[in-house]
Amino acid sequence: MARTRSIRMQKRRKKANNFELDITSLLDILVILLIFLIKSYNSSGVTMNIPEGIELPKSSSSSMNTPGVIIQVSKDKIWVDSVAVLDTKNLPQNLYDDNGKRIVPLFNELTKKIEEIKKLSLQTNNQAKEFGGVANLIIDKSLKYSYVKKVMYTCASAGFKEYKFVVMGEEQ
Amino acid sequence: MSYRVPTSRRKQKKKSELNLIPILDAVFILVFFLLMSAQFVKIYEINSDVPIISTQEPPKDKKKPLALTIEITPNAFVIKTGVPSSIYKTIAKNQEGQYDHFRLRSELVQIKKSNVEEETVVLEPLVDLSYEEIVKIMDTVRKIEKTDESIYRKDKVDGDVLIKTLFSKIMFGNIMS
Repeated sequence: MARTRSIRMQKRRKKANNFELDITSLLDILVILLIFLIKSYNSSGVTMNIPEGIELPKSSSSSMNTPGVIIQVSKDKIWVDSVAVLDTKNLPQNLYDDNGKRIVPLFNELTKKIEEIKKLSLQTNNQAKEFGGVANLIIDKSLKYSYVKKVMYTCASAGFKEYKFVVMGEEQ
Repeated sequence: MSYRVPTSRRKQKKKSELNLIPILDAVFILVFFLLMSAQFVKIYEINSDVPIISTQEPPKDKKKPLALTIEITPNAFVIKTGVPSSIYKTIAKNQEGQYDHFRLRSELVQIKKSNVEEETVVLEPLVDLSYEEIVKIMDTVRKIEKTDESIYRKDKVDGDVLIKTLFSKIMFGNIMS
């Protein structure tokens, strides 16, 4: 009698130890999440920081972003690679030169940036880090062409060869 | 009397299951990796080259350059072609007082049909438009819509190749002025 009881108890103990969580449903959720994340994967590898006060225009373009110097322009500020170079609250005395076509603080920062990149590419001897002459322009959609033209002129006079207008993709 | 397999052993046989834990581990790592590199806002770019001013004479070519230029005036799009440029067509604003993007694109499709190799267009806004409107015009001159007439290019290897873009190399002509 004692033996039978012990066998019964062993079975019960075994049952208690064998308890397993059913992870099939968890795996289902993760696979769905995986598909969703693969869809939103950024294959270009370029991350763009859009500061507060900039609303990008919508476009049907589907060209991937290219690495380069990022120039962010809002109604009252200009940043170069997320570093503020111009603020309307604190305007310098000589804001424009070259017959009012060139923005001086932006030009100074861009030339400094180009020199930095060139110096870095010489030090590292890495072709990937060379100055490609690409200016990524993140501009607020409400800004007028006369101001955008000044930004473009400043970039061109600093030595940039290509503009990349960063836009928001439209749902297609 | 035939031998009957004990119920406990039968149950044990059914219990053999695939071990999902390593798969789960791998999926978790993948989820973290993708979460870090995910881009939830779709951001793209429109390319534009900086115009180069040269004092040298252009190379002599038998074929006349198209030199397609679109002037954006307060009331219309003015399409100009050739060197020296001459007006090809003027597209006035529509009845609602908006720029007629549809007519501009259909005119450009006609120009593209006779100049399939040409990719460059020069934009010259003479009016202080908003950046959003400029981007809209860039979209119009760049892309052939599905509803537009199909244009094919002759290729020695592939035969007739469907052209998907209108004038994708956009330049701003009056930046330096």
